[in-house]
Amino acid sequence: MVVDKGPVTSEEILAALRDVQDPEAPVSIVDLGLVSSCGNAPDGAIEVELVPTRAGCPAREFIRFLVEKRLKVAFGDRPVRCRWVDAAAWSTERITEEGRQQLREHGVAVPERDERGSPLVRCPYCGSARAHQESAYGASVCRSIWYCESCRSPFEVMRWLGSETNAPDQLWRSRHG
Amino acid sequence: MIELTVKRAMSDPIMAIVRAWADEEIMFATYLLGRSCAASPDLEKILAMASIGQDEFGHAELLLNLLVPNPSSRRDRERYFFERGPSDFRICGLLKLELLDDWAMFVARAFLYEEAEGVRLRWLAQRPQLADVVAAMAREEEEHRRYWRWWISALAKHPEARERLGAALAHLSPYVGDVLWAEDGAPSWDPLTLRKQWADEVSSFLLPLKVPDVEALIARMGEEPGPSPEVPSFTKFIREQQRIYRSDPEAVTWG
Repeated sequence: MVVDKGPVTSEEILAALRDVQDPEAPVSIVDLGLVSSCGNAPDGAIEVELVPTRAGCPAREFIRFLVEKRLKVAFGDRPVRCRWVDAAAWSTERITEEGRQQLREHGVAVPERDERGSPLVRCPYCGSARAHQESAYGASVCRSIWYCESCRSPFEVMRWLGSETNAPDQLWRSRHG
Repeated sequence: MIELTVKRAMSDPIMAIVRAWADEEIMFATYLLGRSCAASPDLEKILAMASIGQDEFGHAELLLNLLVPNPSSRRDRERYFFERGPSDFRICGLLKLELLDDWAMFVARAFLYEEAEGVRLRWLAQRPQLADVVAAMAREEEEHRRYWRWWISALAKHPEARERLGAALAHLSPYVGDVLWAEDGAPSWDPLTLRKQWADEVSSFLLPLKVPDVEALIARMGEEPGPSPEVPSFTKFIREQQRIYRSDPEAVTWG
């Protein structure tokens, strides 16, 4: 769909951005919670604000490139302004339920909370909570490496930040001294 | 050399601290990313060093964005790093050492630097104009400190590794004199007090582990700051890091 003139709603922008996949996680940037805000500026430009998973996410430039490219395809030659904001805003709680499901299907778990509100990691393959962290750092800066003691599968976990800070590392320390 | 246009809202003395900090973050990240394969014992540690290095590059960018109209372009940041000479980098002696060949040495340096960062972050957290940057950095730096502390503990558990760790820390001792110095920093930046905090935190963690030969290091950390010995290899290191960029400064990158 190409719309050259007239206002574009935030919902239409978000719908277009759902086609932009994060380069390091098999999920849309919308479902990963990277889109902070979007809309029309008074001058008619489309503006998108993104929050990074980490301050040093190396994919930021590429994601911005993908966003601008996708919005030009969707809305024609309307100006697009995309920028990264607030490096402290992201946490795994921003990931949508659909995003969690997609990540699970690719072997990446997203921390949940148990009935007491404590962080809980379930193996994305068998659902067991009998898992421990093997390495605080994984294949990308926003993931850590875990091991399921039930199905004996290694898997990745989106790293804790924000309200859930530190829990996996505390577990890691309890196991590794 | 590229000149950065300092934002008017920021005082020069605080900006001097921010500018030096950005340089140190860039250099630390460069070691972590550029030397991870040479220094680390296995793949997982390479991943960890690379991830921490990416975080540190991100922090350098946040700090540089305080110095230039926000947002700075990638090209500005690249020029800032790649077009300066070795003497333009305002970094402590600890970060002029490459430390290629010894994991204990690499861990020891990272541990000392990240502990100093914790002290520096707490000082900057009291400055409202830096609140956003400090918030973004603090949660990641806390992870880094925990990581390097874990490694210090792990090395200290085994006699041979403990000896090598002690030797590494002793080797670094002459180079800690200018950590947290910031000669032209803000009036409220008191290097001696901050260095004493740094020394207290390091010693309270290190001494129970019975790492040998650290007394001189800890004493030096808590003293008045002063220049570190020259590191002749630093000039060569910077030139090597800048060689590809300088071969074609106008090459196109993302963004």
